[in-house]
Amino acid sequence: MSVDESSQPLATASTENKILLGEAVPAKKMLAACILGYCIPGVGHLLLGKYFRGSLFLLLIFAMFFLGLAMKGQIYYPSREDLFSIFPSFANVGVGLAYFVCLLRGIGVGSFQAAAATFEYGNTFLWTAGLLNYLVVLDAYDIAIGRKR
Amino acid sequence: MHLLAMLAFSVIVGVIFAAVTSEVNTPRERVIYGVKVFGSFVGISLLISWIFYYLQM
Repeated sequence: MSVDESSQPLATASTENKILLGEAVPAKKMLAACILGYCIPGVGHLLLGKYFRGSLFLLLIFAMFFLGLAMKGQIYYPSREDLFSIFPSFANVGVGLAYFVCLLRGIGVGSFQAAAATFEYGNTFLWTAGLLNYLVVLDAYDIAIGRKR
Repeated sequence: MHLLAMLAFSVIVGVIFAAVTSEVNTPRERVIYGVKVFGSFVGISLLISWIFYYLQM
């Protein structure tokens, strides 16, 4: 790649890719899309004008999160006694504000739920909802910088 | 219950993967990609569960 090409924005990096790439948005809007997208899944896309995709993410990630809670999944938080709780906590925290609301209200907190037959399914749904939201935030970032339409 | 949970999981993950992937260009390809993800989840889960069924015997 020549020096001239590398200095161009990603959205117009080459004629071949021009069709597939979008336009970059201002840095403030990009930051807002990422932060809001993290707090409430899909809102980043809504802010960037991707209404269908944003609504889909909002609906599906919350559906997965609430299904996880309904299946008696556990909301984890980092604890000194159990260092491995960092990993499920990282996955849980990905869902944004809903995680903190559950933590503050004590919804799904505590290992007493392990007695339920669907406990492991619930955990898997909760972790996946969080991890998918990280992916969705990265997607919003890609759209905001013009790497993707 | 197990099958329903697996199907719900596969549908949600399949749709989200199809929506975020950059490997496709057209909506049709996106739908095909989502169906492939869904089919892979369900197919591989059923395969593994049958393997475990025979291993248990």
